[in-house]
Amino acid sequence: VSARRDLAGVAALAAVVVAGMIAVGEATVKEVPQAPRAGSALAGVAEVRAQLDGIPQDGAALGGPGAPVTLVEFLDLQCPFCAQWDLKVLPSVLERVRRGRLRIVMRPLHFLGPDSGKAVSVAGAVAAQDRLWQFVDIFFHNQGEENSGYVTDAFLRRVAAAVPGLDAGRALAESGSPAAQKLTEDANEEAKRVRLESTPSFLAGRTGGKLHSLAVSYDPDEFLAALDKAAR
Amino acid sequence: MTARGSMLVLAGIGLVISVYLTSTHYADVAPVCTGLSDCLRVQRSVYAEWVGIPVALIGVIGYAGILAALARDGAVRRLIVAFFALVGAGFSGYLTWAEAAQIDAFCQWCLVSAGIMVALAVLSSLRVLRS
Repeated sequence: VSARRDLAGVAALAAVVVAGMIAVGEATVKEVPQAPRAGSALAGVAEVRAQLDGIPQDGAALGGPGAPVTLVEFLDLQCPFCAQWDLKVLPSVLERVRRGRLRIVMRPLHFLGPDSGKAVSVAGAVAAQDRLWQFVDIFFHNQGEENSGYVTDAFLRRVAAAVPGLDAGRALAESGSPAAQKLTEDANEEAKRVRLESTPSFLAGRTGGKLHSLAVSYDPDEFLAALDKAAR
Repeated sequence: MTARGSMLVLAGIGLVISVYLTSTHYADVAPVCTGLSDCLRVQRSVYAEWVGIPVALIGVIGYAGILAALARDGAVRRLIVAFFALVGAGFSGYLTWAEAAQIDAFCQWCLVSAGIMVALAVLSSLRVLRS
């Protein structure tokens, strides 16, 4: 009887400790951004379509080649601040692109770890189909924690499949090709040349002229004002 | 082999596994993994740490505690072993649920460790009841 009572006491204490550990663990996990699980819907697909439909794309460039101002964006697909800028500021910037006043060139880097390399390889193959901006935008809407392993082939395939007009299977198959790698190789080279130290980073100026470094702002009005200043 | 002897062997194996997983965690390298599991994905998931502490390190502490308590026999030590093993089995159950339901991947080392903890919980509980 005494042994049973002792064991029951120990088991009850262990149950309390385990319950506490699970409660604390789950509270911590909820604070970390999570990529959507297999089978659940991707976020932002409709918004991205509405934002980008009808804007011409050529490889990494978004907007018509005749736009008087060029903005170059350096980003890493895993970078949470890049996603923040994309969600908060890009919609306002796109209004100018749509009106033909601005052209944006994306420079996706392999900056933060192995998962970035995997993502940017597929991005390179997607750019060959002129759908890079939709792919990156949907990726950012569904971004998980850096290097947590969520950037799997299955995740990248789901993001690619959500982009209208994109052949997702072809993009995945071509992701290791030299042509797909060129996008990030060029971006890394340019980032080195301008001594870029973080993402997102921006260069802006008159199209065909010298581009100047632009301070990052997560306030749309502030960012557009800085863009105007750089384009003078 | 006595229950205590079996538990010493099991806890020793568990300790080796936990030390190995702790070292791969801090070195940020993929553990040796079978084709059926995806240890790197599990290791890089948000469930690989509990409040910033690698769960593999918690395993090291748990197995070391069990081995220390098993070093000598006694009524209180038997209860301590049972307590560590029950907590370990419960927490391992939670992590196995996370692998299945949240991470969508398993790590064979974690599954073996979870099995060892369950076996230790059963053996240590029987040992208390028989004392």
